Amino acid sequence: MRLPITLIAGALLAGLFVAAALISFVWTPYGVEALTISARLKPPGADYWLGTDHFGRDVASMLMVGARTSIAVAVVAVGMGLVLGVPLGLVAAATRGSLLDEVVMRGNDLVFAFPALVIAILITAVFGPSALNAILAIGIFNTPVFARVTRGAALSLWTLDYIRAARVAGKGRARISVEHILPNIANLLIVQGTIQFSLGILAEAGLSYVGLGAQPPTPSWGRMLAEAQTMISFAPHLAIFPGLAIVLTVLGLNLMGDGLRDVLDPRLRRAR
Amino acid sequence: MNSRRAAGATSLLSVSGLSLAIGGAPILDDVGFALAPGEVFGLVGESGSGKSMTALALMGLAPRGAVVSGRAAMGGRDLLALPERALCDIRGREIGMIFQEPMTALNPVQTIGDQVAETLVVHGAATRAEARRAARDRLDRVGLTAERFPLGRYPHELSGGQRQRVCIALAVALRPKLLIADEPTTALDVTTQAQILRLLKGLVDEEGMALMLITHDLAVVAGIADHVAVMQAGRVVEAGATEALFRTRAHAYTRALFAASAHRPARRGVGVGEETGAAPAPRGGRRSARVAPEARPRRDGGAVRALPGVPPGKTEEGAGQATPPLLEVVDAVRTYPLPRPAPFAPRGLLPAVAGVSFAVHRGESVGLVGESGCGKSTLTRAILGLDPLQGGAIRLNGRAVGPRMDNALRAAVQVVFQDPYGSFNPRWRVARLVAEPFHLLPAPPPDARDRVAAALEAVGLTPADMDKFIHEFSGGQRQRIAIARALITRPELIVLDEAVSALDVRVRAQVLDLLADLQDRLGLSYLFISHDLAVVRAITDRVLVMRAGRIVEAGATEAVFAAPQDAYTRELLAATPVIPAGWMGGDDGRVVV
Repeated sequence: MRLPITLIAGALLAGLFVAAALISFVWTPYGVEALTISARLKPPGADYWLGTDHFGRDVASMLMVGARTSIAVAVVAVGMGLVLGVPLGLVAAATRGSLLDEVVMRGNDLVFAFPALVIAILITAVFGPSALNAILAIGIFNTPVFARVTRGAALSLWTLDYIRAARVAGKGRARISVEHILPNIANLLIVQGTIQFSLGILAEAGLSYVGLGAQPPTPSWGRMLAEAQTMISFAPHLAIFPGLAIVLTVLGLNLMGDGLRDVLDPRLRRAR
Repeated sequence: MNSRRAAGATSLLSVSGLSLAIGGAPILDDVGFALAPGEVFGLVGESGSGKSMTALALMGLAPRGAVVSGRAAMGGRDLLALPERALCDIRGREIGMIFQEPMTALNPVQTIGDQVAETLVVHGAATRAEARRAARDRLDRVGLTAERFPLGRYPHELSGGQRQRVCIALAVALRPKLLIADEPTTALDVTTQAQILRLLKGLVDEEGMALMLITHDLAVVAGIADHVAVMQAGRVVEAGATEALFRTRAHAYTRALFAASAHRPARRGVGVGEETGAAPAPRGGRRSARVAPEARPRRDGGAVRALPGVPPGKTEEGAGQATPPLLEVVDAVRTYPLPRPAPFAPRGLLPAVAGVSFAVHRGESVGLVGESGCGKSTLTRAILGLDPLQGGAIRLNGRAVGPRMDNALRAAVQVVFQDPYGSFNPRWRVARLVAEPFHLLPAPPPDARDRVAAALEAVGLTPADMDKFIHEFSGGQRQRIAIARALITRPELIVLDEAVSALDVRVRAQVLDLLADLQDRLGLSYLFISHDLAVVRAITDRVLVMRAGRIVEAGATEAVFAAPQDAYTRELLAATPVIPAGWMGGDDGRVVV
C-alpha cells in the first residue's frame, strides 16, 4: 500500500525536530548557557548559523534544546491525557446513561470550559511557574478531549453484535472494554494523540511566552519569541526562527495526523 | 400478470452490451434488456451479481474510476454517452430511483414536504408555492394523507414504510417515465412490503410509468413483474416473460436459485426426551409431508403425539408425560419508559413484552415470528440473560435466567446474530473468536485448540481457518463461524436471531441444512427468531406468532401455516409474497411458503 504524501511530509518535518532534540543531548554548536557578549545580536552567518541573541547565545543551539523542552512537555501532557481520559471515556461508554456516565462527562465539560491557559495560571498561582506545572495544565486540558473521543467511538461499538456475543460469553463490561473496545478504537486514539501532541507544543509555547512554562535558563521556543519581541525591528531573526520552529513542528504533526488517519481508517482507505 | 406488451416493440429503455469494469476487474459483462412503458421489469440475482451496479450505470452514478461501455437508448439518446449536465436533468425528471434503506434515504433535518417540493424546484418545474401544492398531491398519491401527514413532518416522525412512501413520492414527483426501485422492500416488514408493492404496481398501472424492480426475492418478482432477467456474476443468464421463465428455468443457475429459495432441510423427527438424536429417525424425510396431518387436531390438547404443542390458550402443561422443558418463559414482562409528552406530564410506558409464556423442549426447534417492534428482540435479550425482566420469569433447566446468572448456566444458551459482518471483532483471529465463550468455563480447557478445530469442522470449515482474520471470509462462512462459536461450549439451546436473514438464498439453504444436521447430531434445541415465514416453516417444529408484545398464536408449524387461527397470523401469511403454486411444478411440487 502506498503511504499518503501528507504522512511522509508530516513525519519528515516532525522527525526533523525530534532529531534536533535528541542530538542536543550530546552535541550543540555552542553551549546554551554560554553568554558571549562580544558576539551579541549577530545575524545568521557561517559562525552562528541562525545568529545570536542579545546575550550572545547561539539561536540554533537554543532551538535544539528548546525542541527538547517542547517535545518533553507535549509528550508527557498528551500521555497524561491518554492515561486519564481514555479509561474515563471507556467507563462512561460502558455505563452509558448511568449516573457514573453523567458524572464523568459533566466533569469533563467542567474542565473543558477552562482553556489550558486559565488552568495554567491557576496552577502557577498556587505552585509557581515551572515546566512541570505547564505539563500538568496541558495534561488536564487534554484529559476531557480523550475522554470524549473514547466515549463517542466506544458507544458506537457497544451496539455491535460482537459485543453482544462477548456478553453472551459471560464477559463483564471492564473485560469487554479492554479486549474488544480499546483495540478497535486505538486507530482513532493514535490520530487524536498526534493532533493533541501538536496542540500541546503550541500550548507549551503559549505558556512559555507569558512566562508560565520552563524557567530561564532552560531555553524554550515560547520564551525566545517573547524575548525577541522588543528587538524585532533590528534583529528579526530572533523572532523568525523560533516562530518557524513552532509553525513547522505543528504543521508536521498535523499533516502526520491526517496521513495516519488515512492509513488507519479502513473506510477512508477504501475511498481513496 | 402476463406481459402486456412485447418488450422492445415500443421500447422506453433499451440496454445492450452494457459492460462495466472497475480497476480492470469486470463487474458487468454485456448486460442487455429492454423496457416498455407501463411494464414492470424484474432484475433478480444474488448479492454481487451486478443488479444495483446496472441501475447505477444507467443513472450515470457508477463509482469513480468505473469504465462503462455499451448502449442504453432512452428517447433517442444514449444514457451512457450523455455528459453529467444532461444526466442531472434526466435523473428525477425522466428516471426516478428509490433505494433499499428508507431510514437513511431522506435528509433528517428537512421536512418531507420540503424534500418532495425541492425536486420540483430543482428541475425548474414549478415555483415554491406550486411545488408545495404538487408535493401535497404526490404525498396523497403514495397514501400519506394531509390530515395525518402534513408537509411539515420530519422523517424521524415516520415509520420505515412511511418513509419509503416519501421516497417514492420524491422519485415520482416529476412523473418520470421510468422508476428504478433497488430492493425497495427488503428492509420492510412483510405487511408493509405488500402495501409498498401494491403502491408501486398502482403507479405503473395508473401513470403508465415503467418500473425496474431490483430484488433478490423471487416471490416478490413473481407477484409483480411482467418480465424478468436473472443476473449472475455481472451477466444476464436468463431473461423472459415472468411466468414462462419461472415455469421453464432453462439456465442451470436459475434452477439453482429457485431450488435454494424453496429449499427445506431434511430434518429428523423430534421426540421429547430424545437427547442425542442418535436414535434412528422414525420418520425421516421432509416434514411438510408428515407433520400437517398429525398436528392439525391441535384442540385435542397436544396429546396427539409427543410433539409438545402449546395450545393458543397458553396452558403449557397439557402434556403431563413430557419431561420438564429446557427453556421456560412465564409471563415475561418488560416495559420501556416513553419520553414525557409534556415537561411535567407522567411518562408513558411502552410494553415491549407484555406477558409472554412459552416453552422450548429438548431437541425441539421453535420459531418466533413477528414484525419489527413486536418485542422479539427484547425477549431475545432477556432469554440470553443480557437484560432483566420486570415481571415473570425465564427458566433454563429449571434455573432462573437473568443478567446475574452464573457462567455454567450461561454456557447452556448461546446465540447466532443476524449480521455476519458485525458479529466478530475484526482484530481477532478465528481461533480466538470461536474460543471466546470458553470464558464461561471455570478454566480454559486444555484441549481448547482441538475443540475449536472440531467446532470449525462441524460447521464445514477447516482447522486451517483458525489463524485467519474474519475479513477473509464471505458472509455465509462468517455465519458458519458464528455457529461454531455458539457450539463451542456445547450448549443445549441456541438462539438464532435472524441468523440467515442477511444471506443469499443459496447460502441460506446451505446454512439451514447445516443447522438441521447439527440439531440431529448434537440434540440441540433452537429458538429461531425471524420475520421470514418461509425460513421458519422450513426449520421449526412449532411456531409462536408475536405481535405488540404478546403471543397471538402458537402451535405446530405446519398447522399454524396451513390453518392460522388468529387474524394477525392470517394477515402475515396473506402479505407474504408467493410464487404461484403451478409455476413451480416439476420440482417435486414444492412451493415457497
